[in-house]
Amino acid sequence: MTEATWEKPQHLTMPVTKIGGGRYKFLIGGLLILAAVTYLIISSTTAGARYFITVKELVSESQYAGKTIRISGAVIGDTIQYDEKNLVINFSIANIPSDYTDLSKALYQSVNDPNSIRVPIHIVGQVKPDLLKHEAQAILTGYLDKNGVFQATELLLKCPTRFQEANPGQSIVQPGA
Amino acid sequence: MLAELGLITTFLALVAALYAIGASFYAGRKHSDTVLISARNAALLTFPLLLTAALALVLGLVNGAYQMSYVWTVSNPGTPLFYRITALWGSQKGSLLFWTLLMSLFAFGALVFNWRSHRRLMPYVITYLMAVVAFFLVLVLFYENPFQRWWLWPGKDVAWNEASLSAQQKTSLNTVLTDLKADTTANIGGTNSGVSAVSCVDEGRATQVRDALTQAGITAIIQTPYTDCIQEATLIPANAQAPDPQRLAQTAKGLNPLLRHFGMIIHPPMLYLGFVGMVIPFAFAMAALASGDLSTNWIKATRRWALISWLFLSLGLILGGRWAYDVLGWGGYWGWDPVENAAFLPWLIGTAFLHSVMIQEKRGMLKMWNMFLVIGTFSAVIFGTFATRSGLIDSVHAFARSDIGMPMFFFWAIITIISVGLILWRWNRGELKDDHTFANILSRESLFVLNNVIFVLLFVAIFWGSFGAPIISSLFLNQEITLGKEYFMRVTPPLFIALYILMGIAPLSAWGATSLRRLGNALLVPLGLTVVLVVALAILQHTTDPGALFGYFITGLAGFVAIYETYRGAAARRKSMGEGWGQAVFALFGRNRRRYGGYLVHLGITVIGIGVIGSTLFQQETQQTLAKGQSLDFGGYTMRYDNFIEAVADDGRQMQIADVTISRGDQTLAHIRPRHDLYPDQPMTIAGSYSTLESDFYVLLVGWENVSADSATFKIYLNPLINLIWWGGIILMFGTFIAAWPTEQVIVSQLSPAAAISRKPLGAET
Repeated sequence: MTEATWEKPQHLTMPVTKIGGGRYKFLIGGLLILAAVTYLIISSTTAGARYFITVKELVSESQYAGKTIRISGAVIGDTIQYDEKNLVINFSIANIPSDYTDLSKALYQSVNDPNSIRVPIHIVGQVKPDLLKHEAQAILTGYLDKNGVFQATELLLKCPTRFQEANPGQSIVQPGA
Repeated sequence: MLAELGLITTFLALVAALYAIGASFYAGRKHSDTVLISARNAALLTFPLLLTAALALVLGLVNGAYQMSYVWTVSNPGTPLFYRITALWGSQKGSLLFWTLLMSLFAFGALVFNWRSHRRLMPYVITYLMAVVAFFLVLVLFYENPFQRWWLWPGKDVAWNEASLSAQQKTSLNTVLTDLKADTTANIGGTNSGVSAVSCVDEGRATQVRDALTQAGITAIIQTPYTDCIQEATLIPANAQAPDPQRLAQTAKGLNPLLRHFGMIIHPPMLYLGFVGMVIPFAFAMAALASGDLSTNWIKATRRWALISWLFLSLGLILGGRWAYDVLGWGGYWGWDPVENAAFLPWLIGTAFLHSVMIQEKRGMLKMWNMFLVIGTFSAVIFGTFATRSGLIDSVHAFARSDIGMPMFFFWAIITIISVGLILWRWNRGELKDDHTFANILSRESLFVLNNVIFVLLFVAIFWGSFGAPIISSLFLNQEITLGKEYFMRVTPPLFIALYILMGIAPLSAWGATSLRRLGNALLVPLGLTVVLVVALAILQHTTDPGALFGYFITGLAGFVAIYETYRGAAARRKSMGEGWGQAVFALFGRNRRRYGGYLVHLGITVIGIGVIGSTLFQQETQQTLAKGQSLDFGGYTMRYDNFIEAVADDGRQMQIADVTISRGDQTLAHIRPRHDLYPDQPMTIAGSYSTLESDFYVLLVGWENVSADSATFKIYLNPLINLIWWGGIILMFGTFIAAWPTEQVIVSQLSPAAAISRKPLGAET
């Protein structure tokens, strides 16, 4: 098996064995690029890093107060208030324990547990997302102000409603029930 | 019936794939053509088998076979036929089957088209392809089976009277239940009766729970539940009977309304095609490493497959953006969410690969690097699939957490380790040495390498932001740190700028070495044209923002270089051949599809780039409440709220529609209808927009006062140049088609000694 014959003749180009001074240029250039990008990544990481914590940690640990962080919690449907003229959304989220295996189940338990830790959320300037509803998971970026209200700048929502949907419900499928 | 058919065919496909793995590996070791052909036939068989399985599922969806739990999850009697069919990929289970089907389709194609020309690689190609297919089939069958059905079975409840428990008993109850991992259902048998139960467990479990409770001093009884228990199972559980599909139909929820959009219907198949297609270059590369045929054969065999996958991946990304823009109502199309990034990562490495293989073909360089890129691309595909489907990363995209996380992670780790191991082994044996070395920085190969480096660094930066930082921080700092949009908006622009600059210069450079002077001369005309473009955009957007103008400049330059190079080629043909312009351009594209198709792709990327810059830096937004007949002025347009309509759509959803007129000066431009759809469980805000090449006037109906809606509130975005993104996508598609269009005859090279056999009618020797 030989190399394909359409390869350019060898004499047109430099053979592999010859190591010229050019190599160092490439090496230095490469290192410079690497250094620049490493710096870029590190500085951007510092600028964009957000602790991603639970509602419980936010409420109980004072070190997070006032800092820009991300939290995740279960939306309590009854608390959603929306001023559509001024685009102000207020609602509360309940703590989701961090060691869950089934998110939809964890959300269900969080919103139904009267003892779960909750925090009020305040967002201005955002249209109420369609997914903002009872038992949705809200992921928010913002900070906890002095009054204990979380001032959010970014709201992402996730609705894994599998738990409710995953079972057709026993009373309905029972023939004649 | 359908469920059984699907199960059996999927299982047979797994058997065929496993047989193909063993047989092809044996054939590769022993050079046995008979066995190889048998292995190939088994591998080919996986496609029709999986097609049958998928069709069985589709038939189930179309006929409303609600006993199949997948059908029950993604459709209901109100779902239109079109969405019933596309529900095949509407949820995790079906989409995994669909994904595997597409993969077997690609494998089928590669085995048919590349069979004769690449016999020597074939044994290991089959081994690798089928290993991947088999792995996914294992997931489909044993982890996420779309053919599971609902069954009614006679379970038992363990019940106790919650109301009569003392505080201490309640505590011990909780301890017992937690230890047993048993869930309770409160208030069984009507509200306020105070009865709780662990419901629907089998006899043995019921006894276990009761005994544990008794030991804790709580009186519990085992009883027959008021209703039959229902469970999801692949095979019929003992004593189970099928539920009535009619009753099941009543509880089915149907497809998530957010997914009922054209873009969402074709976006997943496009992405999947892009993802699974990358398996072909991967399998050929691995086959090259395993067989020792390390010439450019594997590249020649897979270049077209890589291009096609790349095209699908690109379209999938663009369509995903379009869907987000149309449906999610935040006026944007890309949010740097981990799931989005997971699809972008293979694209980055794949693009680097498509460029650097050219150097190996033309100059015999970067052999090892290309191996790393092709494996990196596939590895990124599998990692992305793992990360997004296993629930590893919190993302807005609603894939449920799933059990497939562990197997997928191990699969990903194993293929990556084997691949890298093989590369190092061949490299150690000196078989991946380059034919040439880099001589000059201003040569095409050096610029290509630089392009590759930037692509890989972009990959690293985005990977770190999406997965690296959150995973490492939660592993080592016991504290999850995520990187938000700010990170990506800082880290990616410099790298994208570098890529656009290279895209402008590299096509003008020559192999070996280029003089600065030559390069400068070639750049003159494109530079001039770019300046005109930048001035035009500056006037159009009333901007002197240096960042934006610089962005337009470098993206524009890359595009004009592509156009000008094509023009020069056509002009030369006109001169030498005496052809007309149309004929010359046509002949040019025909003669060197790859090169000029590539330029067209560059042009598409330029147009997309300009759209991204315009819509990112110059987006404006406002919100206002308008009474009927009242207008507002925004971004040079006037918008008048005319009327409010309530309507009911065919599928029963309520629609609240605002009639809005957009005008500029005295001229009425368009009537648009932002609306609000009320699905049973879920409202959906659908934007109305007036689109021109210059901008999108994007209106959301946010709210309205009382029933007659005398006044309504709107949120309005003005997104300049955003439509260039979609147009750029279309240009990119054409360019890739041209580049991938087959031209040359299949080169019958590197035949194995026994290759002559393949020329006989197949099956002659089986």
